[in-house]
Amino acid sequence: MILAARIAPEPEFAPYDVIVVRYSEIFLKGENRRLFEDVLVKNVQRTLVSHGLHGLHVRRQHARLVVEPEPGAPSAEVAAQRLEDALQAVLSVFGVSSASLAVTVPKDLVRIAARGAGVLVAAARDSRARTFKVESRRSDKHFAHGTFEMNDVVGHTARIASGLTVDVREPDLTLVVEIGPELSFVSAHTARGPGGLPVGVGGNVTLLLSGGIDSPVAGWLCQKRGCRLNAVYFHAFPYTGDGTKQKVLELARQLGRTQGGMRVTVIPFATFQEACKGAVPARLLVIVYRRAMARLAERVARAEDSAAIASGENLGQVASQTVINLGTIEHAIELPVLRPLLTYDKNEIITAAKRIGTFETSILPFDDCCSLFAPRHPATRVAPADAVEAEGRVRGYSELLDQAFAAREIVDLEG
Amino acid sequence: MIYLDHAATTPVRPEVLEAMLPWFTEHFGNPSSVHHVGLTASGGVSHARRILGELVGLPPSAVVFTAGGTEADVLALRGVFARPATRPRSLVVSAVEHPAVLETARALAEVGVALRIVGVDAFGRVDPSAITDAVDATTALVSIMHVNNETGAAQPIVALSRTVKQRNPRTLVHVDAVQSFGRYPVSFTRWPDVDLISIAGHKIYGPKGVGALFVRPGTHLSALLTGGGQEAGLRSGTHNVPGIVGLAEAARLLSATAGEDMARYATLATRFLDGLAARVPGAALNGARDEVAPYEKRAPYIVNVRIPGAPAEPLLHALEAAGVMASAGSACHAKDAKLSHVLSAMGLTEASGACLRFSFGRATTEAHVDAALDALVAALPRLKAAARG
Repeated sequence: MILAARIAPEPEFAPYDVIVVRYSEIFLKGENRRLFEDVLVKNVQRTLVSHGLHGLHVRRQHARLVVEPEPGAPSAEVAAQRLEDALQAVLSVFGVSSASLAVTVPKDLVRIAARGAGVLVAAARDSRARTFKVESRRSDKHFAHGTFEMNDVVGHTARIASGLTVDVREPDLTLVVEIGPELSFVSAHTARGPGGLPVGVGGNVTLLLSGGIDSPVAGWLCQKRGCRLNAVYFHAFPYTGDGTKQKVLELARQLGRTQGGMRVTVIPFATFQEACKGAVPARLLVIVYRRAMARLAERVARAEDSAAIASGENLGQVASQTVINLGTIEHAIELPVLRPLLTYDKNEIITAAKRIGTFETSILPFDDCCSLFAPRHPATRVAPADAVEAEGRVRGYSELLDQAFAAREIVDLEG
Repeated sequence: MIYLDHAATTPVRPEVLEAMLPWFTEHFGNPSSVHHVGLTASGGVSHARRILGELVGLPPSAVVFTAGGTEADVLALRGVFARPATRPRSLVVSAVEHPAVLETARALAEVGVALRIVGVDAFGRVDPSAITDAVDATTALVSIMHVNNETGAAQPIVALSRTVKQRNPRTLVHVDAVQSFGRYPVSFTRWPDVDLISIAGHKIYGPKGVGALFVRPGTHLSALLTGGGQEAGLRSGTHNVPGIVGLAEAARLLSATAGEDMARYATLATRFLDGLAARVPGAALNGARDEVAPYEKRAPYIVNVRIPGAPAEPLLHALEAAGVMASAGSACHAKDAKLSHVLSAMGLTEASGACLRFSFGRATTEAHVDAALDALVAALPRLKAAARG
């Protein structure tokens, strides 16, 4: 075996011909695994299309997904470019734990070493890397060489070809070598995906979407755990302009990309707010509005077959967001309310919004709630009975909600 | 749709578009090229320069084409202060200037220019005596706009510029005439003490992205954009030939009907303001009423009104829902709920009520004005109730 280490073939530069996609938690799901994998394949396909990336095929391959060019690509170089473009899109899909831009190899250790050296040299050229290590995996037990020997031979060849030094603890680049029963590849370009579960396996959730920073992040976190979103937006026209509505639809379009589009139900809310103002003590206005929103969102949820509603509510971010008030809001409806941001600090939410790409849209200068309807000192400890009593003061309360729901506008955004 | 936001921008006239089109395709040349394709394009630019020069009473060489009104303003201010010879280093502007002037002035103040900002009266007009106080031996430039974009207030340019020169004959005077050119007679003949004038294409039914700074011969500026030396070295960059052709054609056409246009705007303003006074109690004009030629105090095509007890932005949205496009202050700040610097300078506060701007154009009719009033009257009860709370 030591003999083999002396073999140092010339590096072979082959174009990328595959993206290998890994997923993690799906293993935990026992007999549901097949279903989950099918959903993941479909979601990856949809995401590629929504990014305008055509001519790529996604299939399952022995506990991995494989993205490869469809037959008939103009050339291997064009196909390789498409795969490079596709990597970022693949890495945005929930359920993907990591993905590698790779070159397939025959089951011949010398060729593997040559192509491995080739991808490492190419990756080192595009970065300031100085160190690397080899990580071999062999799931095809018929392959004659063990991982120790593979590391040795490929590492030796790659080191000579690239001029990089080996650092097994904190390498700048990791050269992955995988020998499977059907698919064998080398890659020096592996990146982490968002993890989580494929969107769709967790059922439908109706998200209360505003134009702010928080609610899109709350929606994204629900998607991360496999929920398919639809959204409801309360439009207080003319107190809020159509610019805000456009912004909300843009946020929904962004969130919809990983799930093949999104339905947004726009509910006119100003008439209800006008009726409350004056009838309800100012300090209770916020809770009365929030309970009405929850009720209307629940109706949307029923219509959209959602098992829960989700919101960007947070403990203490504004004075009215107390545990007691959140309980009183929830008290108005039967469906569970998911609040993924409940315990986040604002700066954590902003960091997340920047990472998922909704921050820039959220901070566009359109106000998302007219200050005319925001009392200066909202109550912080409203019991359900007090809220019910306040609602009783609004003339025609349930008719107003019926009218708002009847006047809803449904917008279907394509993925 | 009833478009009453002509101070924000105007549509390109079909005749102007028609005049521009061949310069995109057939005559696509670079005016700096020496071959005949370039010479043809150069001819188009020269023709435009002649038309504009004649309109303002200067030789063609006094016209410097820019990428719009903002660039013309910035070139005037920075162009003066970037000159090594500009030693008296103080600048005087009014408090109601367009941000292109005001923000540039503030930026210059940060690098050592002494900035003096003169206030306005309740009608938005600069008092010549304030200019007398502000201008001294150190003043290199005074920049005063002719017609204010938010209120329509017209400044007494002849008197103000004469005052400047009486105080200091070497002080230059710049006038931002973006909102008045093509409507009022804007010229160096009428304004013998003015040295620099800015205009923009898209306010006069011409294209966006083109404007001009007129520079009285003998006035020296430094270039902002250096490069190929176009525009006598004052503004490098390949000429926007279709835009320049469109700017000149738009200026020529609009100036030809300026007198009758203004009379019509005055009729519309009278109808609107009388209607407002009769139908909306408490509503008032932000500015001086002046619907008689030569409209020295206020341009009749811009009407800025305040409506007590109503919120501005929801009122704009409600007007839009009724098909009426207007604006709060200027379009640049329409999304900003705060009172604009112009209205603040006139002594108004946020408690004064919603301030809305209606600006009339060539297509505006009496029916449009009536419809705007109807929409206003219809929207107000609901919004006032919401604001009361």
